[in-house]
Amino acid sequence: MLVCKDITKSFGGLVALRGVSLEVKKGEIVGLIGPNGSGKTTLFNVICGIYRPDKGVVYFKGEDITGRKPYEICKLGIGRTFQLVKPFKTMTVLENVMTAILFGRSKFITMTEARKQALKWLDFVGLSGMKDKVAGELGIASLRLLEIARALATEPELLLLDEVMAGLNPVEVSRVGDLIERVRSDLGITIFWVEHVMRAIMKHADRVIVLDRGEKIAEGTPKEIAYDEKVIKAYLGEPYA
Amino acid sequence: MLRAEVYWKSLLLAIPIASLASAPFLLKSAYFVHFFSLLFLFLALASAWNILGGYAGQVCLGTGAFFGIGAYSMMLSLKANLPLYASIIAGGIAASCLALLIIPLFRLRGIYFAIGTLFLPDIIRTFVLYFSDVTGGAMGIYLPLIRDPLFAYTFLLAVSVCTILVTHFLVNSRYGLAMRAIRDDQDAGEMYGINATKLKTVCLLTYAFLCGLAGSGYALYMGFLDPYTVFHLTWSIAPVFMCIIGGQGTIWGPIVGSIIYVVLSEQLTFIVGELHLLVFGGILIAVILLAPYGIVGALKRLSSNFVREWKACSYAKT
Repeated sequence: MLVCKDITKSFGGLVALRGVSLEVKKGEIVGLIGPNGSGKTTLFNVICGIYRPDKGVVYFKGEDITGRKPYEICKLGIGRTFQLVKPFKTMTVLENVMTAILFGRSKFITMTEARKQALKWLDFVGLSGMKDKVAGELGIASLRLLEIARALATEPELLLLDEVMAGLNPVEVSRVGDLIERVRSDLGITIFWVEHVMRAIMKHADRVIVLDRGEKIAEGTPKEIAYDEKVIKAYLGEPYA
Repeated sequence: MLRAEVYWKSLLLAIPIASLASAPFLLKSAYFVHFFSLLFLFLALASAWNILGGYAGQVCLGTGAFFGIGAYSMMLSLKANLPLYASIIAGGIAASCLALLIIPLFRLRGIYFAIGTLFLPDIIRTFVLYFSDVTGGAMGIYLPLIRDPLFAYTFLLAVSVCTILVTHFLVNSRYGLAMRAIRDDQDAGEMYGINATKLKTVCLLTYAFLCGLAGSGYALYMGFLDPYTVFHLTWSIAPVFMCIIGGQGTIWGPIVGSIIYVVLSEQLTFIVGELHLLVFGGILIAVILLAPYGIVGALKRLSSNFVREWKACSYAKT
């Protein structure tokens, strides 16, 4: 589904990504972990068109999408949430999702239809009780759910999740974890997921890719990663049981 | 049910417009015409600014350039023997052309965009002064027709009503959602499929065209243009002031703001002369501190809080 080949991106003298190649297959949940500053978010920004890589190619469903604009990539079928939540803060929760429905897809949808579908997505993530609240008034857990609802509302085939669990308490973490499982099983959406909450990654991911200082240092099942020498040295500190 | 609502709303809208349109013919008061022409002019500018600045979040401090280029283009078209209505439209078109030239400024965001637009009126004024054989330079330019304040009044009324209707239909459409989305967060908006540059360009063109028409109306009303008045900073700052006072990103905000501005500036000038600007400064500070969303924004919040409380109470009772 998603193939990155030899992606290199530097900001001035700082090399954020150095020849990263990876593949995400249809129907997988792939975790992306690594220490702070290892280039995880930069890689996401390259995939969804915010940055143009200095070198390398991004393929989505066999098509070269390198350097396409974010609003085009969204319509091609890649949805994304942000690590630092970016709600449309003066709009209501419902309007937030409606906007994604109206503009995030390639086909035309009427306002009435958009409202109907938005309610469906809010129901899916469990936010329907807050539909008329202004997004700026929500707490972090609800904002994370809103980000997911908005990304799902664009009807993506691939969902990029950027630390959706940061700032959540253990109960919320397991709720969002279940939600991610449902996104795959009920909607058939492939998930590529950056996360620091190891408990969640170990539980839900099929495969984990590890970045360190802009390079891919390991790849494998969660079990293999947990005992990988390099990963322990760079990130985990001790074997993750 | 919806259709009946539309009828009622149209009727509610039609009554004040019809009475304003017929009032000068019944009252025959020159001051009335002067006062309301000024009000409609500022209302049109403020409402147009509200589309770009209030809803789409692109603060433009160069309204005077679009306004002035509209006024001058109307005059010059008339001089070139174009028919009256064609000349009026020419004012709007000239302003839109200027807008097309400044599209690259959208590479700047927030305050940097605002600063980039601040010097537009000065640049246009320099051109007007330089090509003095066409524009009359610092001597100014006279309307080649007999000045008809009643026609100007009616035209300015039409422009302001038009501007409010355009705002209404734009913001209640899907594009209204997109405009507010990129105002709140442009990066997120683009990630969810909004072509921000295109959207901002459409807003800018609409705003510029309406400001150009308002400029045409001003030229018709005054019958005389001089570059130092037409490109004065007032034309750029007053619309922003009115929107902040009244409430940016609301339809009623610019209406309330422009009424306050015009009433106060007319009345206070009699009493304290130029010192009235000091009063405006005071009002601005007070509004920003006490009601950061403007008067209309504050009322909206109050009423929605009231509704929420009221609902909570009625739940408690049952």
